[in-house]
Amino acid sequence: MRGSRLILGAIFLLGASDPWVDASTQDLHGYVRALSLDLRGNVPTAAELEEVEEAAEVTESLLESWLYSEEFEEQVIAQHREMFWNELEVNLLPKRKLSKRDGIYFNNNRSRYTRDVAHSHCGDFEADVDEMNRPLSWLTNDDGSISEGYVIVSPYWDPDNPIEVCALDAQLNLVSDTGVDCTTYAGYEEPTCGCGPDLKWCLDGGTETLIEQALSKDLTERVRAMLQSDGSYADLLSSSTMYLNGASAHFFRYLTPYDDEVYERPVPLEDLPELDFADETWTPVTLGSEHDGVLTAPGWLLRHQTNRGRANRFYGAFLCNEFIVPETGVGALSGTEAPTPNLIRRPGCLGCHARLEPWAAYWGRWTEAAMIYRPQESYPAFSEDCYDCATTGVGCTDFCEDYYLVETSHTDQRPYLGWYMTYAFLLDGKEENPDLGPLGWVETAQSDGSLDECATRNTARWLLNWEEDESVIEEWVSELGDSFSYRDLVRRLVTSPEYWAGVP
Amino acid sequence: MIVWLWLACASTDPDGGKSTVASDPDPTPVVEESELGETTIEREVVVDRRQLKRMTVAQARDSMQRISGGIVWGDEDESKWDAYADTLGVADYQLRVESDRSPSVMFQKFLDDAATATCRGWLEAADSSFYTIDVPDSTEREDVRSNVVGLRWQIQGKPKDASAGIIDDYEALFFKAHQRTDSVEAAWQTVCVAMFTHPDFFMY
Repeated sequence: MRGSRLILGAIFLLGASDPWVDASTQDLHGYVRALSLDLRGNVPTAAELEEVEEAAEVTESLLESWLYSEEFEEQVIAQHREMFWNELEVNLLPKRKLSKRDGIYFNNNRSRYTRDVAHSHCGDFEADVDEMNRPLSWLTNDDGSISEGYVIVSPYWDPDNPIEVCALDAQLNLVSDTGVDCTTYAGYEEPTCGCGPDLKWCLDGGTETLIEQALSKDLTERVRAMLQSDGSYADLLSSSTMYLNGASAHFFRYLTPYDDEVYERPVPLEDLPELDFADETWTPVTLGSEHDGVLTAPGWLLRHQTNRGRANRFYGAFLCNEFIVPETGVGALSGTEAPTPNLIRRPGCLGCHARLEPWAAYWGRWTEAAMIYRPQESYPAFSEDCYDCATTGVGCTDFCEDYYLVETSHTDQRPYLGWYMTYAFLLDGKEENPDLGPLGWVETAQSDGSLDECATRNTARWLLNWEEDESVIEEWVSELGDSFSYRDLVRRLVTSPEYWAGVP
Repeated sequence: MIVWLWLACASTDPDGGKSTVASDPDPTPVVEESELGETTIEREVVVDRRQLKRMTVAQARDSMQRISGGIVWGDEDESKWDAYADTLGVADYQLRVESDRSPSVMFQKFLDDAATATCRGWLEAADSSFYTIDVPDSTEREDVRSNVVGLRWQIQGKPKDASAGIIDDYEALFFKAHQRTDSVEAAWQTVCVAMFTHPDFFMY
């Protein structure tokens, strides 16, 4: 007993009291420097350092000014980026993308329809066109393709710097010669459809990047709004406001109709803000009740493309948990039977999937590798028609084949014939999960305290970089109570003795 | 004469006339890996309070700019801290989802480059806050110590304590650099880089 006390004492002398290990024992200068770096990402100014020296403390007003600074918002945003992983690089709309050859923009993917030969180009000469940029004459090449030449266009992304664009790609028609609407996906194969006025129905590499950044930054702007309102931290996961800038507003207004299997406007067209593409200010837009904060934001859905991936990221980032393979490893399948497609029951998988499948189902009404909501009214949980076609051998519609379970490869699937696919294998009340949405999971985590506990744990890891003390975490969670603001949490932590023990 | 002849014959190859190398009586020792032994690199002391952490790349960038009065490592369009972000292990949330916060050799190499450029710009800037003494080119010991204390306060945020042991080290560094370069400015540049590359700057 005496020996263990001596060892503990030695550890204290060697480590815990050493400011190189235990930074909570630093002097006032060390504290103010750490505080400034953590809360603002920068060292204190000379004037601030003198102010602290004169007061011999970090005054409440100084701390509050830092907690309400823009720099603080940026630090909190940086912490949340580590949770969201909100960075998109998804090749948004390859069919509408313009690339450059010999300095002239053209749509390489559409050239098989516009010039009859894949990858063909218009040639490096000025085109002879009418007022809709339709070529009046052209060259016919040896390979059968045509070269119509280019026209000069002021693109929407940089109107002050006109560019050369192949005439067939710069056509202005709203409707093709065959009557197809050029502003929709159907116009893709129409040779007389183009990119429209100012090329606004197309994008290039630079505009694609700006749109992807805008969709990603919507998430972090929601963090900023949460801080500026000083509301509950949980608002982040339930708020129905998203933020658009010029790039994302243009995307939703003009470009999303070109891939309606992947994208949809978050609000009706008339509710989208009218913004210049280059406008970098953020405009709030109120979304429908189907949205659940950042967890259904386009930037989240497109970054985490599968429902399992979406659930896994939420589980790790907001519930501080992870799926770990058991020490004994994943068991091999036994027997010769085809394994069940129900991962909740499949040996070797169920260790993780018994929990993951019902959680992934919270996103069940959001399309995977896309951002579209499939409402109950249009996509009922069970379809008599799909059940009938699946069980009677009558041919099923594309709708049934695409969204409902109408074919089985295993007996375990039979009870779910005619069900919207996302409901398959859900039991014990979990079949409600797709209609509850991710907010259903959030509310459960709020009621059992795991959401608040993880928020506290995450913030403590950021600020203290410590070996967690469970009892201290519990104490903080209990002190903060329900619906605490993130600023309250940070204030509580940086004024705790665990962060700084006071003047040595 | 006989001795000279014997020496000459002894050092000549009778076949080709090439000189021969006498065998080394003390051959190069062979180092076996097992002799290096093993140790743990993990910290053994568990501390349930705030532990030191390394500045992020953004914190190092912004802090150096604030301290030096706005000197940017790189150019006004892009700091080299940002240009080298991938190499420095900054998360891009696509290929890397967690930033490297270790005081790695790579971090210290770039910190050294940044410090060299920042200190040069800071020393040369008009209305620079680098000197807290009246005569910048003074080599009087009292002046040098005073400016070391002022620099340490600005760069590392340490109290203005002239009796701290490390002040002696920075003073010695100043005079050694001055002795070798005969330049006061080069000596201050050396001290400045030493302070920025010391863990007292980048660990907090």
